[in-house]
Amino acid sequence: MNTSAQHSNVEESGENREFDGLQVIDLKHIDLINGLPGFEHLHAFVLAELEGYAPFCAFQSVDEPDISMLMIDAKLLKIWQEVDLPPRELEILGLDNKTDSKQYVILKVDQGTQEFTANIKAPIVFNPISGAANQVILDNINLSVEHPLTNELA
Amino acid sequence: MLILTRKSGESIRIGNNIVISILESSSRYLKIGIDAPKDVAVYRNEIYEKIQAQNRAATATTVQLGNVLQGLKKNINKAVKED
Repeated sequence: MNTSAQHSNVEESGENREFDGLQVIDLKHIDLINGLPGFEHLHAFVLAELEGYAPFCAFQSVDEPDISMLMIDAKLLKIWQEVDLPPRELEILGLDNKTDSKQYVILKVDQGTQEFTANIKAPIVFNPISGAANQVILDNINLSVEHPLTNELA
Repeated sequence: MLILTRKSGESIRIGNNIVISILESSSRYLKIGIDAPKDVAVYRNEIYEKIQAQNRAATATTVQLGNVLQGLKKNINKAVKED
């Protein structure tokens, strides 16, 4: 059964912005310059803060709304204080330094344990003014693609 | 696949603005230098493939995502009650 037509996805009309029944309190448009690895053809995304679910945000493709992920602001993670972003990556996004950028990490839920892990090896970094973004793959070998979220939220 | 033989100190040009240089070679590894415009992303392939796989695994439809969040809320409520 094809139910895709029933998905409400993101509506930005006035007060009724909804994300499949979840109330959106803030919506940012993000343009992934190189596309999202694994979905390289997708560039336009929205980052939606959902009422009652902070600090979790929904990250959804504009062109293929069934492609959605959960993310959180990387700055909420204790380990993030030690992470540097390569100047070259910031320059591509039109930024001078890390503090001018916004950084989010993609979360994954283990179907069995229901535990969350965060991909801190490859954060989504964006310019909050232009919306230009990339998933930046960091060289630091200590950063995991499945970093446990337990005890990490500062 | 195009296969070229190169020695240490030699290089390969791809298009008119990407140059790949062989800096050092031993029996175990090659050290490669890459000169490319900043809009050309360069990755170690096995790491890029790992990130692709992680992104695909993290993807949920909006309906599934709603379910995950509903589950999360139940867990939070349960934790609050247990406190």
